[in-house]
Amino acid sequence: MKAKLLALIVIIVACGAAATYDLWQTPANAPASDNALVASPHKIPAINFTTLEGKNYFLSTLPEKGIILHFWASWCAPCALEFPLLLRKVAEANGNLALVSVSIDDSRPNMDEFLVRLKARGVRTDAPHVYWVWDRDKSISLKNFQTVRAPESVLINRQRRMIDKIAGDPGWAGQEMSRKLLALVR
Amino acid sequence: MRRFLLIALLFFLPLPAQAAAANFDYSSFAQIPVQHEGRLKPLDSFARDFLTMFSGHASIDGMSATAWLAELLFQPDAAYDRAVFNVPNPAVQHAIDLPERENHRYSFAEVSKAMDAHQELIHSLLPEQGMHTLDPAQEQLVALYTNMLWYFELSRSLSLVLPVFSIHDAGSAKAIGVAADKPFTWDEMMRHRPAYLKLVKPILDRKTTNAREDELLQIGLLMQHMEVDKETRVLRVMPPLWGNDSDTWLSPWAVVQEGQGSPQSVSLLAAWRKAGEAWRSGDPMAWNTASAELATQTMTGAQDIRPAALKAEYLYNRADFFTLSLVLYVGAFLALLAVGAGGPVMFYRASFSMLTLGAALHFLGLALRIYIMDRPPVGTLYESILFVGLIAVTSGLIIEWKTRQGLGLVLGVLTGTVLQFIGLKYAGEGDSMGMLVAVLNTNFWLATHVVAITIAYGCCIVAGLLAHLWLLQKVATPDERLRLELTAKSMLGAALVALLFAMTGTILGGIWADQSWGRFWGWDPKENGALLIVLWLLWLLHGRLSGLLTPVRFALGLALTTVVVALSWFGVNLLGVGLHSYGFTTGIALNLGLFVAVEAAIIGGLGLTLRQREGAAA
Amino acid sequence: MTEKQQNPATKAAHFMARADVFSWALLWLMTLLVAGTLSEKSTGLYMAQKTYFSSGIFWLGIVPLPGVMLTVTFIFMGMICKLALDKWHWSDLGTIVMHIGAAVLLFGGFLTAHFSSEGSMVIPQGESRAYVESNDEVELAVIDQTESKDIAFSFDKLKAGTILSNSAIPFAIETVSWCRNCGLERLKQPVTEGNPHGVAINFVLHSIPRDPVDENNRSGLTFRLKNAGDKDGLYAVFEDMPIPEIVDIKGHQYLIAMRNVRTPLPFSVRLIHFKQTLYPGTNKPKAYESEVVVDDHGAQWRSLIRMNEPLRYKGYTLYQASYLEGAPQATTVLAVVRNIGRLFPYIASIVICIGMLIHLFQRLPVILRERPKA
Repeated sequence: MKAKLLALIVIIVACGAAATYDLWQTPANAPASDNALVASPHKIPAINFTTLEGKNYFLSTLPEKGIILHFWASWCAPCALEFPLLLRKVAEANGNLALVSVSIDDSRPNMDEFLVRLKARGVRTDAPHVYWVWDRDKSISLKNFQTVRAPESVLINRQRRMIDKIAGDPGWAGQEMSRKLLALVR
Repeated sequence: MRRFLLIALLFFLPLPAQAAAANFDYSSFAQIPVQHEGRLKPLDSFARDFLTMFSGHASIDGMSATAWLAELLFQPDAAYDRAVFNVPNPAVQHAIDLPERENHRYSFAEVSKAMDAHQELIHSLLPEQGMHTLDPAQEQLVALYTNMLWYFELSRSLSLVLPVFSIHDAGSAKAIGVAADKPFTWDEMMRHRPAYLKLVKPILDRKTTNAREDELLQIGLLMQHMEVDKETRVLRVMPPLWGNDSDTWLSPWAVVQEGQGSPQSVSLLAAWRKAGEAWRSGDPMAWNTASAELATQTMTGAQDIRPAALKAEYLYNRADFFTLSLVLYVGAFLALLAVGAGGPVMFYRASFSMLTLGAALHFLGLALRIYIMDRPPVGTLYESILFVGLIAVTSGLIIEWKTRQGLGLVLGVLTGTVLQFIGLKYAGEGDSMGMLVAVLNTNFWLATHVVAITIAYGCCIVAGLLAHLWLLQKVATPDERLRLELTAKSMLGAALVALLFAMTGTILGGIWADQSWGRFWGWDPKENGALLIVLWLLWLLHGRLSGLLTPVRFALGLALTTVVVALSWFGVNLLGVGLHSYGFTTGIALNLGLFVAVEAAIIGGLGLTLRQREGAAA
Repeated sequence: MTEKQQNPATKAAHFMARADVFSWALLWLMTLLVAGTLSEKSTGLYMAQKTYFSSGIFWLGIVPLPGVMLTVTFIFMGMICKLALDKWHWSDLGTIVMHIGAAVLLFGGFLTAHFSSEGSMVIPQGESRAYVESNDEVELAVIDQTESKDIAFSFDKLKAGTILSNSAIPFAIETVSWCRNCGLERLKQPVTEGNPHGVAINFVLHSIPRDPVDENNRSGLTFRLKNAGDKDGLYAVFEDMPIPEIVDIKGHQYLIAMRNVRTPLPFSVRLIHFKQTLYPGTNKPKAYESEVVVDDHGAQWRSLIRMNEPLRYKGYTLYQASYLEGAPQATTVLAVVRNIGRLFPYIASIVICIGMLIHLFQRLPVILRERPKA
């Protein structure tokens, strides 16, 4: 009989202890989710380009800290919408950020017309640190980035490595883009 | 259904090529990783899945699946004429007026033309047209139709790097900026598009054209057709480089369409193009180098990749361990028959070693699966069959090793052959290493609960079969007390082990359910099935230990365990309710019914015989 | 001994502890299990569970038969009697411990069946909830939207002709008819008598058989408003009405609705983010995850609820159960369980394991001795 009583007590105590432990524990704070940028370690390819004014540059030796290599076209509606915001971002960077703005238009007149219209909307197309390029034979866009659609933007950091590529309008004024652009010039 | 129109138009893509040489080495090409159905697999598995889906076999016309895929990708026009589609049902052939043929194999060109001529019939059968039940022939027709679409999508996956454009007229070529009579690809075309448009614009404004202008317009038409190719997504061979969704691989066209191009993807596509050129050139040396280069470049460009696992899967596909082990089991069976017929002891040894070797291969296959999938090998019904088979054969070997009476051999040979054979039937149904649904995606519970339950299935089958054997011995040789006792002992041991694992597995299953759904027990059919096994064994063992069941009745009950296991393993899937119904059910019902009937007859017969004999003795 | 056996309780105990009685009970349990499982196909999980598994008695035509609950209770009692009546020997210690473990398991099952409650929380991203919704019980809610007061009448009070009133609302509700699962019938001509409002003008609710799947049932109530001035008259409400019934009385907006019974939680849960991960390149879900903030009277912490990884707090367990597809915001569905018996399976498995180990150690000398016989 003693053995049975003992067994009973042991079981009740065990159940009670487990229940107490379960009910009184406070959950710990879960670690914050890690939403870090996926860094691509790749170096930029050797690209040289000629601006609309006829000046020649190497992408790797531009003086600015960070570069946005931006592909657009006159037939692309989001491009027209995003340009003012994009240009403002570049202006806000105080010369730390370069915008290499590459048109993938098939015809030069179409591109020129687009720029005229942009100007008419009050956008400063002759701002400093903005390089306007027409990629006449697609040797920058298609050959290096398989770009046939617009807009697409490649973000390049100080070490001249490609941090990210964004297809479509990323929302230049948004928080996330601001964070990414800040990372470029750091 | 834009595609129908296209299919009629796509036959003007003749690529410059000789026939592929026979001595091509496909081993590097076969190991190129491709993301398909949610996982990275070697191109070899990818090709096998599709070829099996189309033709019912993993090789065709003496070509391996990989070689077939290479042709389909690098020279679609030739692949369109290869008889790949297996249409065995005459009703399907007649429905779309395919000619009757002895091997009932048809080419894509034939099938697509036939489908095109019967568009309305096909459309009326498609699921978009409301829910109606189809008869088997109609279902097969719809399957043929979707297979055809898959075939087409595959064939157009690499059109980005195929030299499909060419200009014969020297003047036009010069104006555009390409060499005359030298084929070129889509992206070259894109680079010369401004010049081309300048050339074409005046032609379009006029009504009449000449031959030179026709050639130019053809190019425009071709570019228009390639718009459809841009939607191809199935061949995900491009590792991702940008963005947050970094574990989704891309198809060549998706890279362009989704703006994911990079210098790396450009160079990888160039490698694909080179491989294609080498393949079409028919030069084995060039192909071997180019395909090896392509494989290396893909591997180095990818981040989360396990090259060794890809290699292992390639080996797994080629070696086909499970078929080999089945062959050995059958061999062991034949040798055992020879022993039974009074053959020399050599046959016994042969049988024993063949069974051991078969089990080793069986184990190797499972071990490779664990390594490849990085999870316990018990996630699907097919895998559970493989696993139970191995458990049963191993138990047989252990019993044989300890007793040397032939008992374990009979057991191992029977379970091994039957289960491997059933497994082989399931292996044909697509990728056997598919990804698991979210709730099963947990290695811990797969490794504990599912493994325990599956071991219990195995032990139950062993115990049940031993009970059969004991009953047979009791009927045939009732005087051999020692042998009977030995069998009885093994039987009891197996039943105890089975109960141990069944109980552990069931309780673990409850704990898993508690962890993931908030209830320990939900009376789900599969749970009930497992509980039924536990209760059945508990009942038998308690009856045996308390003396309520005579040895004969105990053995009869234990023999019936095979039926209980079959019902809870396969049967509950037929109910189609609950969280566990993961299996394929077609065809199971009939086989299961047959099995239950046969078992009932055998056990009933044995029971009656023994009862009559006891009655006569008394 | 003979004297003792005449005591009916002792007699019953001895009867229940008998091996053959246990054996028959087990056989009956298996029969029930098979029958119940088969009936799940035709009547659904819920009904089968109600008829066979959680019932004391169920009726087969006119014959009353013991259900699983009663049978298991009987077996449990038998085990206890057996354990209590038998003399304990050290040599049987392992077996005894194993059986005690089994008894603990059954006892836990009993607690779970009778004292656990289950419900769910549906939380859109960014919002906070501090109550659990029942999965099957419904109530009539009157919400004063002007003062955000919430009054609920439980469904079992809604018999026809009952008058519902509360000091917080200035009007009374007289129930006309109710149905646990309502069909909605459009009338050929609008009702004119009894001053109908809203749905009641063109539709009439009538009871239809209950669906085995709980979510497919739509409960509803037809009622008359009283003391509501010009708003007096006939009304009808049912669950998830596309246009909610809002009555404007004396400047207050009252929302009257049928809904699942809400039970307050001692803490609140806010959904920060719901994430569904797919296998790359497919539509097959790989994982679900809800990032939530638990707020217990000011104390706050972040927590992740995932498939197979629930959140436990204050006796409640919150599981990732589902999510709403096609909702304007990402919306998670958490299952909430409060189960006193939750720990028993764990304790029982440990006890059973200990029993097995003891048994094995006791048997070990015997097994080792037997071995060289071959």
